[in-house]
Amino acid sequence: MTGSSHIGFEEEALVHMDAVYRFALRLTGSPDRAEDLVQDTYLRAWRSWDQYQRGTRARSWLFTIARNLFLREEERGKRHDAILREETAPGTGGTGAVSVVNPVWVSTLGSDPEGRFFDSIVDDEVLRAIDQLPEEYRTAVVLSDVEGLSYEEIGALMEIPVGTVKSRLFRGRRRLQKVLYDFAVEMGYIAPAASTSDAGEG
Amino acid sequence: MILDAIRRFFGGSDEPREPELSCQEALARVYELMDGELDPAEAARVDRHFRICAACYPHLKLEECFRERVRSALGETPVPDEVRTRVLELLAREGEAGRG
Repeated sequence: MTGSSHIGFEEEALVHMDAVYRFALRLTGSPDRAEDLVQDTYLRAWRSWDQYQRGTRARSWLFTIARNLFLREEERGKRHDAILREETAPGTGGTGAVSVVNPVWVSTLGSDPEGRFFDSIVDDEVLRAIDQLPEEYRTAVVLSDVEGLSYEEIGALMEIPVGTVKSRLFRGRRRLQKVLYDFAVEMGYIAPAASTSDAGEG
Repeated sequence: MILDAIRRFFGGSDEPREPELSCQEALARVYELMDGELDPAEAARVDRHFRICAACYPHLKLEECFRERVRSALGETPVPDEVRTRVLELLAREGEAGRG
């Protein structure tokens, strides 16, 4: 398979297929679409392998290709605009603009301050909550929490400044925590907080 | 200047000690700490706050518990064998076409 112009493809690109598939699953939310996206990503990577700078991180490069292919197919419309409005609102450049005190922390202080309730929630429910996040938050959270990419790598991949990466991670994680917290309360895994039931995002 | 001198005096070291962080400052950096985005000195400072502050410590634990849950829900999904096979076949055909 590997012609002379594709030296290193197996060692540098194919070894990341698990990670690319995981990322594709979260982007598309469906195994069928994820499979198509993985195929398209590797085909594109194969064809442009000579443009890949050897020794840079192939995994980030593959994620970039996958995301660009995915976004091209998606209508980015309203959701994207909503995110941009949120991000360009006055004083939201970093994490400091929204209260540093997480509403979920406040809600769980009396009953489960260390967040053990997260462990009661089954995988499917966690995945469903992640898939409900707008793509801009979902991608940042998955690439940071699961794939361990740095803010700089995520910024390069999503073509946004590091400050915006921070802001997306901050907001994305809080939204996700709120959804999981609400689910845990609904399921009786955790007692509802007495007076902070409407604590939402700041 | 004078304050620095007093701090150095009481710190008992030539190296000036950074003032302790407030809870607000530590909480604002919780993700950067967990994500390994702080330089070592700053990370040590933030980490120290969480270890000595009984009010902030549970917040760090909750964030760690949350991250672990997200990781374990997502992290163990290998690409199915049939998908891997199809990708390899696709690339083999592409390689053949490239040579032909």
